[in-house]
Amino acid sequence: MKWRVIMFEHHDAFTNMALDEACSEAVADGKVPPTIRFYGWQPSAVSIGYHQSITDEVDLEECRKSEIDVVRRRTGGGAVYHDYNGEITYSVIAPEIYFTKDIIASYKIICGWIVNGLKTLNLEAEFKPINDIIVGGKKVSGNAQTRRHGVLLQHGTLLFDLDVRKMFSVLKVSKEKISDKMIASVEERVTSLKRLGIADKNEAYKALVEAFTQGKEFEFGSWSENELLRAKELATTKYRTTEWNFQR
Amino acid sequence: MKSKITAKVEGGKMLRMELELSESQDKAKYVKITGDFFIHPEDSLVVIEKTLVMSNASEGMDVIAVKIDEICKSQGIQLIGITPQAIASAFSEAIKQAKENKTGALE
Repeated sequence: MKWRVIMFEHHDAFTNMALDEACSEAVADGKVPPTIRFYGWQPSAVSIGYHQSITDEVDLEECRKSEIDVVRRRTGGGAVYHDYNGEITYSVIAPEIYFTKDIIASYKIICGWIVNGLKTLNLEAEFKPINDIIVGGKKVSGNAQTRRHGVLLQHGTLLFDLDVRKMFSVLKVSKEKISDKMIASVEERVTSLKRLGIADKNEAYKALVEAFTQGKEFEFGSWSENELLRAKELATTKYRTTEWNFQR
Repeated sequence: MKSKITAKVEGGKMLRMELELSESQDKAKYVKITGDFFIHPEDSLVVIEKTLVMSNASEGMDVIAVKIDEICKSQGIQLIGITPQAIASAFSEAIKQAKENKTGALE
């Protein structure tokens, strides 16, 4: 089946997660084709993994002061600070049967698309199980997957720019630990496209679109009316709620 | 008699466990597991928590690990970045610390 590709768009955190779920439902019902979407976060946001405790992981007061949204994902994994300008996020939403049953192997396939995109930017990247992509031994992309109702959803981020100080101010690391030493240690483990010499975010985005669609029949498309309506509903009744975000 | 422990699982994922012991201290009456690991299907984490709540506090780590492994196999639960042994180890430590009535970290 032909894939639908939804070009980069910014949304708030709740709408981003709601769109992923609304699209997953529509794919499960056969109402829309398998979908690849690219997006950003406006305002900047923190997303936490499905199994994480929001109060353990996020400095909610700092987020409130900085007007940073906080949302729980449907996928496992860790807390991520999504800077408005700092990353390109993607989601792949397709029937599970499009991929192998082996979850790590399917991470490798989709992460392989990112690795290929980075290759066209002359960056030697590699997939590092479980869910990371590294360049020169440093993490540049984190990814997370869920499979529900026969649909695979994998979303992930490609770091374009990294503000470690900001990241530490919203993620709960004890204030004492936000020392220069700790920041240096994170910078030894994490990198960004900018640090790797890719100054043009659009160039990186184009490389990703090219790599994600390579060998696939696809067309650029938009959300259906039903997906938009459902996403609006889910954003309000689920992703913005205390019940969802504070469930653990 | 509560405890909250943090353990780093081999491979780098974090596992936190909050536990409350029963009055008689022979069982946990409440267990909550959180962390940055993956479980498929996601909602089966509660099945593992229930398994722990139904276990005796005196049971050894290996016994608990086998129980978790069996429940995962029988219900098609996949643990990624976390293992039955890691959960069992955290449970034992959380029991121990609850009895001592303190919180702490497992490295």
